[in-house]
Amino acid sequence: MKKNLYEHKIHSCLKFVVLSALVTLLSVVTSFAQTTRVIKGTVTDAATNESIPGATVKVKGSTTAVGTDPAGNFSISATTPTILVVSFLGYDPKEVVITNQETVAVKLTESTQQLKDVVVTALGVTKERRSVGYSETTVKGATLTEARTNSFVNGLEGKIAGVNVSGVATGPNSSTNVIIRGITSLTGSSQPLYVVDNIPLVNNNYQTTGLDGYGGRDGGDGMSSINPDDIETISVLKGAAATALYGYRGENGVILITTKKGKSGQGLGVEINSNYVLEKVINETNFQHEYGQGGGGTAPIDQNSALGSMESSWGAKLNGAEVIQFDGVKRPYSYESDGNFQRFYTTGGNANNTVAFTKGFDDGSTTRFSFGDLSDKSYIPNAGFKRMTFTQTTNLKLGKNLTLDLSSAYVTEYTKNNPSVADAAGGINWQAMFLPPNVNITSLKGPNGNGTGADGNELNASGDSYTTNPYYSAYVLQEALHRNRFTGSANARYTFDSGYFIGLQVADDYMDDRFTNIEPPTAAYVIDEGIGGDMTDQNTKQTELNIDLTTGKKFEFGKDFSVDLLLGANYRKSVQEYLTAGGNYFALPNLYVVQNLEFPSNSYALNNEEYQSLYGSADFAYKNYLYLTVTGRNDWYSTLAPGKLNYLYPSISGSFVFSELLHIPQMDLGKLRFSYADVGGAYDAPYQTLQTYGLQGTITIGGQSYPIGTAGNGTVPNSGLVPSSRKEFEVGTEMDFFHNRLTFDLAAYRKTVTNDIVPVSIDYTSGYTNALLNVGNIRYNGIEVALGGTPVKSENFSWQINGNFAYAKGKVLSLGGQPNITLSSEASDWSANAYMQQVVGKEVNQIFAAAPAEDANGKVIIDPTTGAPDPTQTIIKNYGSAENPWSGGLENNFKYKHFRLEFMIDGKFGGHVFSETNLVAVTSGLALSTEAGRDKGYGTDNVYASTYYGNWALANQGQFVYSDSFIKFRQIIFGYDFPAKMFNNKIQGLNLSFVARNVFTIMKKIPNVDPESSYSSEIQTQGFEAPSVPYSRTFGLNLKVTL
Amino acid sequence: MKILNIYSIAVALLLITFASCKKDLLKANTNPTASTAANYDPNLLLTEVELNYCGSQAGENWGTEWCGLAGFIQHIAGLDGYYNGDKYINSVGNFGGYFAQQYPSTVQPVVELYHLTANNPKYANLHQMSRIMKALVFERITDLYGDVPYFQAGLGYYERIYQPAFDPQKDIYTDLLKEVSQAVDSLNSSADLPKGDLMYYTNGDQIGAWKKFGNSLLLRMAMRYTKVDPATAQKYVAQVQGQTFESNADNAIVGHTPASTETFNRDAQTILGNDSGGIKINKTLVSDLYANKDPRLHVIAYLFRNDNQSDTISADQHGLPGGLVEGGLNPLYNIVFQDADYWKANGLTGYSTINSNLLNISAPTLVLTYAQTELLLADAAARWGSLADANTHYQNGVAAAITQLSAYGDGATLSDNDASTYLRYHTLSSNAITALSQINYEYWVCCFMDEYEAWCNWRRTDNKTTLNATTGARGYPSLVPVNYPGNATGGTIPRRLNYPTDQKISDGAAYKVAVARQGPDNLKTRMWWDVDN
Repeated sequence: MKKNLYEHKIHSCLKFVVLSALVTLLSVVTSFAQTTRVIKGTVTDAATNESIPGATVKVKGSTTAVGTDPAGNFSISATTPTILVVSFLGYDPKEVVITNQETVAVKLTESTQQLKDVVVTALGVTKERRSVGYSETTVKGATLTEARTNSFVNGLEGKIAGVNVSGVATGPNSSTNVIIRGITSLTGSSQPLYVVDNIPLVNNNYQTTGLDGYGGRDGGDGMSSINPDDIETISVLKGAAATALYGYRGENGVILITTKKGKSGQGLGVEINSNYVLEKVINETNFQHEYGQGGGGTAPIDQNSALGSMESSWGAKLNGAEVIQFDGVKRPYSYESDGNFQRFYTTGGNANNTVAFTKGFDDGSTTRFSFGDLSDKSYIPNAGFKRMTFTQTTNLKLGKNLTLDLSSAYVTEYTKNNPSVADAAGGINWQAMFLPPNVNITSLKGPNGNGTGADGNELNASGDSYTTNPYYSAYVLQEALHRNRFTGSANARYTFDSGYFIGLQVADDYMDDRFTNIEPPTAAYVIDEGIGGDMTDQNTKQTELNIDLTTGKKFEFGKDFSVDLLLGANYRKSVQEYLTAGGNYFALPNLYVVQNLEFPSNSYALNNEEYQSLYGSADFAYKNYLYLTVTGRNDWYSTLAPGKLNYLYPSISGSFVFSELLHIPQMDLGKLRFSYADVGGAYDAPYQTLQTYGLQGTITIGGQSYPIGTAGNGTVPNSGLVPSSRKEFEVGTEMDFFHNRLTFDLAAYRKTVTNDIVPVSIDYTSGYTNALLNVGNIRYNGIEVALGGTPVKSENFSWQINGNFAYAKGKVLSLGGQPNITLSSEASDWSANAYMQQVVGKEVNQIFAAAPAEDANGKVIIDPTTGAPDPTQTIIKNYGSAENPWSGGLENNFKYKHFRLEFMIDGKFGGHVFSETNLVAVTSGLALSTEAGRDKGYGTDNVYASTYYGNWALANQGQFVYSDSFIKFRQIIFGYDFPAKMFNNKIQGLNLSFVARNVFTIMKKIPNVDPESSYSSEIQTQGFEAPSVPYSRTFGLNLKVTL
Repeated sequence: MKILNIYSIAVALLLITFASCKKDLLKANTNPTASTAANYDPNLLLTEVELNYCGSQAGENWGTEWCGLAGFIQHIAGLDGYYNGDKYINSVGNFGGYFAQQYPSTVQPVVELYHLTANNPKYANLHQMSRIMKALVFERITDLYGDVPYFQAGLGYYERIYQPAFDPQKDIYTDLLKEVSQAVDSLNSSADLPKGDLMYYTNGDQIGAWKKFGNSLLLRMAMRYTKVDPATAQKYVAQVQGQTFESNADNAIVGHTPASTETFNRDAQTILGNDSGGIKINKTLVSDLYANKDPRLHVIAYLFRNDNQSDTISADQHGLPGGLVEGGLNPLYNIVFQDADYWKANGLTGYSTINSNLLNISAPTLVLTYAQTELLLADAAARWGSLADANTHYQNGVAAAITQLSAYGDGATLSDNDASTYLRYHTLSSNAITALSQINYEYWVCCFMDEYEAWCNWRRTDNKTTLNATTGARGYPSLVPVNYPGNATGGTIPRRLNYPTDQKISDGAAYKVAVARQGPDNLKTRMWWDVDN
């Protein structure tokens, strides 16, 4: 060891001597023969020989620089001999020594390190990767644009270790649940903060499906407003240290989006991306097709019994006889339901077009404008999503000291008929899911084709008015969400000659949503309720203002030591304003506007939140291998206890680049990192610290009006609320080998959440059902591994493989003395008896369900009369956590000449889900398992198979808790990059690819539904499944043109 | 130097900005669409308390009152699984309902009203009314369940008591009497006239009316001491003598309207919204009213004839015997055998049900009436005073009980003449025991629709001496219990209601203390004032 060190020293000394000699020699040479002349040249890609336009050619040691033209040519004046530095984003820069040659051909090699060497960290600060003391993952926007999703967030699924992305199966613009390193709140949202070019973007979910198994409609979230074509990179800050500078807002992790910019010195550039995909429903059901509609082994005998048995497939063996159906029409009693999903759900089409113009100016200023148009005709009939995005980003250099960055985006969105899901009245998929095998879904269309009968009322195909005809749900029930969103920011930064800078940024995210929901008086359940139709028209205005003032300077002490200081202050104000008009009884038929309501009701609500913060960081660097960052942020909250001021969140992180000291063969980078941070979390609703008093209508007795008061809202306000705290310790390593052909990143962390603000159930004799208390205490342990490799890399063929794997297991440590908190229960009309709880000592999100009663020996008690357990005598058992502790993804990219083949596989493992679909499949006689033993009687009472199977299903609901594990072949891209030469360099790039997403499921454990069929993005229902919109597969073409 | 200056200015600006913003944060967290304690008019809460005392929107009127008590006390009966209080089958969820719903819906706002008005001269009378209302609310809760959270109840916000202790009923009653006495004494006719008062705001003498209301309530509470502590009862009877209600015009009545769910009559809302077909008037009540030629029969009962026309003719009314079901293996408890001919001819619709006079969304709730008060005074006089006084109060009470029905509208109005005719045939006996029986029979009739009170008074008057050894009947009125197979009391009329089962978990320790002190949490355990002597 000692010897090595000694050798190393000698080695270094030698290097220094040789280098010094060379420099001296060079200066001697230059002093001898100096001439000024024009040098011409071309810059091409070393691998493809394609020209590189826009590359910068600079004379080393001077300010002289030019860019290459569209054909990759340049000409530059220089005094020879000299060195030209040629650089272009994404390529390793190259130095070319010019002595007396007049032309030069420079070949640049694509950098594999480009994204990794510099990383974007909190507040958008770029840092050298080697200096960062915590885990950070960056994804290129390009990977999200080919096989795209309406919300770019869904495209992140499986790509980043520790980032759990789950979409909600609720229609064309459904929301997405993103959890980074496990939940940080037992009952509230654990979704990360999204920041686009330093502007925090609001990701509110104004309408979520219900938590009780009845579902409802999902209103989408805020991230659907982003056009993936505008994204340059996405950086995910996972740990507390990474996000500490965001204070309370970084508690759940931060997703930083950097948008595309113009490139300095480059002329006008045009980029066009067109994407067209088709979308088709995936039918996961595998039901019996031996027995048809009916009960007790017989087919319906009249229209009434047909109506009553629309969700009962306990009829006779299918025999082709003419049997009456719900509409009184006789049809063959034979297997007809195959393909019902495909008959009802149409082929969707999704067209995306983006055109972007960029211009770079010689002074370094750049600008980019883009227009994107998305038109999604959903595979759900009569539903869709449209979006237009206009964005502009301008980076101005005003003199040598001042920069001004201006960006703005205008987005207009229209979501049509995001349907009701699960067991909600008006639900689209319930009846489609459970139609008896002999019923063809198209018979439900009715004479008008929209699920209405001759009288214009809903053609209710079942005895239950709350089971809505799917055609009626699609074509007559109406929902619309119109959104207009404007985001703008201005960021000025003045750098003094001394190195100090002052920056001021003002950003605002303004959103105007209009949500309309109409339940016409013709709906069967509306008729039943006797409310004459109803509608809601809600206008939500939302604005978030952020003002940031920053200042700082980098101090260098000698050659080896530097400190980069940053100080900042943030003011944030968030306002949501809701104005709702609605009511029931439409006075005039077919006129669905609020002034046509006989019993109108209006409401207004305003949510105000205000936060003030001071923050600072100091980055210490010693030589190029030892780094330490210390940050602190003090937050003042409007939503928490008034008067308590000091909430200081510290973080410390360090990095040691050991490869700089130890020369390990073939290792390019070896780094150890550690970090510790404490960040706080605010409560996500205002006005919880004070008791409020209001009104709930007026009663008029004998001509005298008395307004009726109300105090509080059932939850004890807490004027002593303090922020929750996430303390996290993280260690990790990054290692690159073989010229970056093999990369390895490992992170291990322990995260402890304390003081989580939880609405704890209290005894109602206190007058309240909940008290908002700082009692939640969760701990997560996790490991994340990312492995990248380029097993083959030659001129014509390369193979790159990236894999990631993560483990995160959370446990509830305590709940302020309570043993558990109930999150939700799946209590629909279908006798589901399951609920979710947070239980002290167990993993988060536990699923409980009914199990049959047992005798003293643990044997299931069978009711002798039916031969099955008695569903009224059940016990509640625990069936494990809904959270998947294991997750991973694997990407493979092959390149052969101009062909590209990319595919991705991802999976999640270890979680559980309670499936109401499978429960109802059994009780309604559709499940394959109910096929056997239909013709015999059970128990001493000789009961029908329907009673026997039904009792088994209702008494033992635990059997419908399945493993939620799956592996999916998520996407495939097969593309061809046309060489620019083919177009005489008129077109710089043309790329055509075939894309497919949700290609197929490699492994799953839950029958009849997709394992990702969640109906709500709320944490409370993550362990529940009920018939939501079936999953779809998309496939189509992507065309990208760069002019 | 220059740079340093700019720096100092920037930093100073930052600090100034922050120092000046703390108050704004507090303001930002004040809901602009709601009021704070400082600017709220607590009158609105009196309106809420008066309404919610008549039942919350959560349906305890149905579960506890109509599925339970009204059957215990043989006002109604049913054959299905809902209205089975007539069979003393323990419906744990339903019977715990009153407890579970009234604390959050009524105790909470009355405690708020109490605190918001305390020590505020602007609300001097409103505060005293809050004390009376609070006593009214807790009186019923403890009368149904015995030991209940009282002193610590409803203080989740004010004192952060999340798991209130259960208090002995005796201590609760002592405090109730003290509170109402003090409140009545403190009402001041020259102070505020609370405009949130549904019961008496339009009364010409609002404060005077509240004094009478408070004293009438005191009388009712004191009379609960009849068996356990007659001396205290007598003391308070003497205290309120001559200061209670003087006519039906003084009745405490809360009106209801069809405007919104907040303003509905809860009995009607819950019965019509759940199952109005299965609720039938008990044969005991119909037979007694018919035998007594009571003019109230056709006002409170009606039935549907075979042609589906409603029929209010007294002679046609047919009560449903308690303790029966339709079908089942044992003919003794099967309506098909027990009322074979009538059942065969008319079916379930042929049995009298509650007349829509009384059961509709706009029907008022009679909270406390002159008739009840007079009958209690008659009871007190018959027990501890003179039968002459008892007779006066009896006459007043019975007449008022008949004429008070006019509160339900023209269809329910009976004349003074109807009352005097009835009284002519129902004079008070000169035998004190018989007189007590008569007085409390009348109380039982006039409490129809206030099932809580009907049941309480029966328990108050029932002791060993009221047992009829031949029929097994007890109390005033003399009710013969049923013994339906599998009932929860062994064939005796329930003495209390069980606590809701969630109390075992949500307030477990306090619950255990209460059960250890009071006795098993079932329908048979007697509460403090209901001694068997």
